Parts: sequence; structure tokens; C-alpha cells
Amino acid sequence: MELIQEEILNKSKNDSHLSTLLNNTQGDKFELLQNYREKMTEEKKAELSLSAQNNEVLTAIQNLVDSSNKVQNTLSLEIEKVLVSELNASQQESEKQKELITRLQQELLQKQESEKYYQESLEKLKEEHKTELIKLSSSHQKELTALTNKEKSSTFSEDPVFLKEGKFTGSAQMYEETSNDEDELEVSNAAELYQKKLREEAELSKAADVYQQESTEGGVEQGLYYKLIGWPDFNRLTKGNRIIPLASRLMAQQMSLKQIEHFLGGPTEKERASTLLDELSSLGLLTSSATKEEQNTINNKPEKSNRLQLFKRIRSSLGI
Amino acid sequence: MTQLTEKIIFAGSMGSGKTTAIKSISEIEPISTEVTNNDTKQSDKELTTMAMDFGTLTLSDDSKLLLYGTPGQERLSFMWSVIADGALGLIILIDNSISDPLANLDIYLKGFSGLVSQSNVVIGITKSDLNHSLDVAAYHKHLKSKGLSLPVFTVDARKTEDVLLLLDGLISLCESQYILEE
Repeated sequence: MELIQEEILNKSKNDSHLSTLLNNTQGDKFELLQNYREKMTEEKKAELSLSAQNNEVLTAIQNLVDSSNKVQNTLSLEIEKVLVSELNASQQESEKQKELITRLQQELLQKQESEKYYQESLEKLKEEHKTELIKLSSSHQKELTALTNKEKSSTFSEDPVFLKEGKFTGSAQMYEETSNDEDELEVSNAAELYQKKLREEAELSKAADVYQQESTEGGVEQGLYYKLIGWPDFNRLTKGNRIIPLASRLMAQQMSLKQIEHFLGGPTEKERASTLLDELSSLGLLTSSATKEEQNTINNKPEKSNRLQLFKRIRSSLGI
Repeated sequence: MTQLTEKIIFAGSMGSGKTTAIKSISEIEPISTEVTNNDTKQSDKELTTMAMDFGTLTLSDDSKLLLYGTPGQERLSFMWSVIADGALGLIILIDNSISDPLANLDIYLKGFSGLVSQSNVVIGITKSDLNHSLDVAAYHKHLKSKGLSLPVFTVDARKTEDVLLLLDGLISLCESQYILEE
């Protein structure tokens, strides 16, 4: 009788079966035992291999879990960082906006003060000028009266009959003075003085006109187009808003005074525009012309619009 | 919606403050590729930019303004044209305390000739307090001798307002390419 495969593999009953079945011949016993041992050895090997594989799978799963945990932690940290960064950015933006508003408010106040000061100075100057003119006018009037009197005196001195007849109401002393040779020279000097005063008055009137014109035009001629021929050292210019953009624009193209004022913020910037033009002019960097040159700049509307919008956004983000 | 990006380049001599300038205005912590400086002949600073610096600024429409700092060493000039390609403008920073700042300026004017020819360039002089012999007027004179007219500012790269001054100048130059509305 031989052991069938099913009996050999039936582990639970192996021993009892074997003890029964191995009651055969010695040769059969030996062969069966040998087969049995070989099978057992193979099974053990298979078990060990399976166990090793199981261990490997377990280790791999463990590694996977660890790795997953790490990724999750990293991800959480990243999200936290991004959120913190976003929060900081929005806070910074908010701070920037606040600063910008404060700065603009300060600038507005400064502008108002500057305008007030300018108006006051102008009024004061006008008042002084008026007083000066009144004084001058009064002085002229006096001179004129004196001259008239002297001329009258001179006329009377040439008519002694008139004097003798007592028609002249002036004193005899006056008669003596006017009849003197020196008096003729005095009259001549007085006439010269009068002429001089008239000239001074004319000059003063002219100066007043110029002053009046300068007061309204800010020392810059209307109808001219201005352009820069070189970059200034900005440290040498009066600081202020949009000075650098204006200089850039003036380097690129001609601008009228009105355009410059508009560029700086409107008619209220007339004084600043004039000051800047004066400074640039004194540095020898400003040219003016009555005719406008042709512009060699990009004027494609969609592109222009897009680019100008972009620059505006950049300025807004930078707070400049 | 397509998000556009524009870039501005910071170039200039080693140690002139490019990395500092970008740091002062970038909204993100700038990505710097600083390594130990082995070129002590050019500058004695400890660290120097090897590849480039990178910072960003988000604009109101969520598009990005990218800020690039090029390496200062002339031996790395092959990277300049790559970084400058398509840039909005260039800010050249020159360390006024080095032996020949004007010759140094020429290197960058030549290296970025594309942007220079478009006049989208401003020059910032740093460390001007260490060399009073070369002022803004001298720089203008030098530029004029080369047929160039570019705005020059004396700045402290550590001060944000000074860096903003340079950007104001650069943006103004870009804007001035467009005719003023009557």
C-alpha cells in the first residue's frame, strides 16, 4: 500500500496515518519517510518564505503610513504658511493704503497752507505796491504844486508893477527869493526831478504790469511748449509729487504750461509748475518753443490703453 | 482670466545692493541664490548672488510683477540676456565706492544694450557717501559722452523709499512713451 498525495499533504493526520501506513516493508518505509521529510522541509521553507513576505508587506505598509503622515504634516504646515503669508500681505496692503491716505492728506494740507501763504503774500505785495504808488503819487502832487508855485513866483518877479500894486498876495520875501539867480537853477533842478519822478513812475507802472502778469502766469509765458534737453539731478530740484514722471514726460515730449499743470494735478499746481520750470530753466536744461514738434511716440489706442493701465496698477501696488 | 506677468530687472555691480533692493519691495521672501563670495577681488562681501534673485509683487488685477536680480559678476554675464528677455525695464545699481564706477556702468550698459536702446533704464548710485568725487552730474556727463540720456538717482538700497524712487523713475520712463492726452 502506498501513501497517496492527499494523505501526505494532510498535515493534521500525518502522524497517525504514517504510523499505520509505515507498517509496510523497510524499503517502503524508508522511501515514505524520506518523502515525508522532504515534504515537511518544503512546507517549512514555504512557511518561512510566506512569513518573510508578510513581514515585508507589513514594513511597506508601515512606511507608507509614516510617509502619508509626513506628507499630511508638511501639507498642513504649507497651508498654514500660505494663510499666514496671505494674512500678512493683506495687512501690509492695508497699512500701505493707510500710509498713502495719510500722506495724501498731509500733502493736501501742505498744498492748502502753501496756497494760503501764496495768496497772503500776493495780497501783501499788492498792498505794499498800492501804498508805494499812493506815496509816489502824493509826492508827485507835492512836487507839481511846488513847481507851479515857483513858476508863478518867477512870473510875478518879472512883473514888478504887479508886485508894487500889491496884487500878489505872497510875501516880499518870496519875491526876493524868486528874483534871485540861484532860484532859476533850483527851478531847473526841480523840473529835472519832476521828469525823473515821471520816469520812475512809468518804470514802476511797467514793473507793476510785469508783476501782475507774473502773478497770473507764474513767471512762465503762456502759449509756449517746453521740453527738457537733459536729465536734472533730482536732489537739486524742489521735491514734490509727480516731479519725476513730469521730468520723464518733458524729456520725451513738449508740453504746454497748461498740460504741465494738469499733469501735476490741476490749476492749483500752477505755482509748483512755475517753480519747477524756473529751476529747470536756471539749470539750463529747459527749452521752449512756440511751435509744437511732431511726436514720435506709440499711439496705438488698445496697446496704449493696456500699457497705461498696467503702469497705473504697478504704481498703485507700489504706492507711488 | 489670463494672468499676465511683467518683469523688472535689477542689475549692477557686485555689492551694489540688488538683493537688498528686491528684498525691500518684494511681497514674498525673495528667493536668493546666494553663495559664499570667492571673488573677493571684486567685492569683499561675504555672500554673493550666484544665479539670480527673485521677488514678486501682486498687482490689483492679480497679475504679477516679477523682480529679478542678476548676478553681479561679469563672468556670469551670459545669463543677463536670458533674464532680461521681455523685461519692462532695467534698474542699474552702481556701487560708487569701487575703483572705477563709470567703467563698471559701461559693462551693464553694454550687457543690457537691448533695454538701454529702448531707454527703459534708470541708474541708481549707491554708497555715494563713500566717494564724493563722482556725483550725479559726472554720471550724466559720462552718459552724454556715450550718446545716452538716462535718469540718475543717488539711493540707499536699504531704504524702501529710495528703491521706490527708482521704480517711479522707471515707470515714468515707460509711461512717457505714450502721448499725453490733450
